[in-house]
Amino acid sequence: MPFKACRRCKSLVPKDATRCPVCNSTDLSEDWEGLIVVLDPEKSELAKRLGFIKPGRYALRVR
Amino acid sequence: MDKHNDSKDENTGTTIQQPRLFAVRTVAGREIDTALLAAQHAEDEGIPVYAIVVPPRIKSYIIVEAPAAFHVANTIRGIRYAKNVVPGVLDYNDVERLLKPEAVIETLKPGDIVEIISGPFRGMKAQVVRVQAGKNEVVLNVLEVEYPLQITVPGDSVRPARERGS
Repeated sequence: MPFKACRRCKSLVPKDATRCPVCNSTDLSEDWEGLIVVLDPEKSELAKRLGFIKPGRYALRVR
Repeated sequence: MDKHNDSKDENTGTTIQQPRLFAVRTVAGREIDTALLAAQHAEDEGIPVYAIVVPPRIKSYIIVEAPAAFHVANTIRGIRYAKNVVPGVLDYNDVERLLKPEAVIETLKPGDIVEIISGPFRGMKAQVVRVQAGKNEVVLNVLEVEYPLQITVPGDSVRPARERGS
């Protein structure tokens, strides 16, 4: 997996990152599964239902 | 199948296209690559794709949210790992159920019998002693050993044991 996931905001960050660029958290995990790329959060019904309000790449489950 | 009616914007007179969910078949193991490439392609070309999902534990399929199937077909065009758009649309409630984390831990209470599904005690039955929802952990009393054994496991390592006879 080329990414790590932020446990706080579920955002996917590059594997070599030590801090989440979205929420600034350092609580990153390599154990995640499922991915959603949100391109247009205003029009995306799915992003709304899953609670993603900003465009970006997110993990669906982070352990 | 989902029922979506396109509506008209009263100010501009243009048709607002409701988002729909389409499944795309991919090469097994290349779901994430396909999703990332498709997202990049949609952004570069200005194709109205709203979201792309790689569902956990489902091989060879990704889900694309777009107003129409031909937008999805345009998005995956040229991506070698993408095979085809599956005819038909998916139901939002079905997909949401598929994607939302299973809240097994929230349904458990002390005294419940569960089956351990991963780790060294996999396959054994255990009784819930305590649920630590904040930590996503469950403290269990393993039933299938001769001496009292209490273990702490992650919430997703257990599933409620089936009732007898079912």
